Amino acid sequence: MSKASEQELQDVKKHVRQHVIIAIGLALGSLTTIWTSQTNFGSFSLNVAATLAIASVQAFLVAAFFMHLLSEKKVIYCFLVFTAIFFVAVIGVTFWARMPANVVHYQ
Amino acid sequence: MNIPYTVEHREDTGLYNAKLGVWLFLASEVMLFGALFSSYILLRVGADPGTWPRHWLDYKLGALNTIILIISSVTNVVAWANLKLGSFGKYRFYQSITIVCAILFLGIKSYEYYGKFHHYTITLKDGRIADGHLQKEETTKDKVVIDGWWPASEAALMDPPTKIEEKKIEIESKDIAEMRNYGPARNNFTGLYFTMTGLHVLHIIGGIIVIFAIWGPLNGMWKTDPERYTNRVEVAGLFWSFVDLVWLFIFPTFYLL
Repeated sequence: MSKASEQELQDVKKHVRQHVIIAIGLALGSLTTIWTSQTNFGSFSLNVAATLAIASVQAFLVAAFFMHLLSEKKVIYCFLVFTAIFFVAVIGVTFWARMPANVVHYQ
Repeated sequence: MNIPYTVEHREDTGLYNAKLGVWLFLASEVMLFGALFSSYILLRVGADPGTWPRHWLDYKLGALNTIILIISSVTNVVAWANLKLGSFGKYRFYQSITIVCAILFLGIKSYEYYGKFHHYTITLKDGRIADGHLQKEETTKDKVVIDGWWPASEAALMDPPTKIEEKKIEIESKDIAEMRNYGPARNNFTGLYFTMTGLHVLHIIGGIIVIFAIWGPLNGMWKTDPERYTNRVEVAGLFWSFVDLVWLFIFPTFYLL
């Protein structure tokens, strides 16, 4: 492997700085989830929504920057779109199965 | 025989094969963990009010493990970036921090598991309930000793007070009707907790093995084929970041909500 040029060196330094900032953001995000889970928003559903929303933002940051998804090739986006569709379907079927119309109680 | 597209990109995908392969693998992993999270939602939403446990896990340990995994993800990416620059020494340094973080994570998780397997709810023949950690040294055939408290009922155990004044409780064996620990068989919560965190731990162990193998025994490739070696590090790193990502959901769902 050839020796890195000055430009490459600067790029990597920038890259590393960016990752450290994101890591700090992730750590702060985790502390915020603890706070949201323990704060009384009036409804437990709001606590769940806020906590999972922060976790989703954290997951996005990991995928986008640590896994370089923002600068990835189209074929990987295609895979992930299909995965997302099936993932939503799995969760959707779960909720559908719980709908009152699908549950019959015999007394 | 030469394996094609280990370094050069395929014309149709624009990627080297290992990267395409690891992303396909990660897609299947999303479905695996997705099915488990789906089960969690189903069981939690379907649980009768007051029957789903809360605050059974120490969120401080969970948060500490989250921070450790985040640090390991950063050092992993920084290690790869240094390899891209041709700095093998720095790569080795940062990746060793990744490995240490992963081992620390496993250490904390083992401590948590140990605590759960030694935490018992004891139902006495007169109907009273004692709950606490078994004191193995003091427990004999005739008496059981725990550091714990006396909950008013089974329901009080579902959401115990955050601060419990624990005291030593000695119970004679003949007075005990049942002893249940907080292991996977206790209820749906512990079953899912051990299944999902256990599966995650297996991923951590797998990650350590692969990262360590590339870092140590297989690092000779850096001299013979550095670009392929760098790609191996990148692919292992993608897996490692995914393991971090999964934990970012496990932590709030089990420890906080």
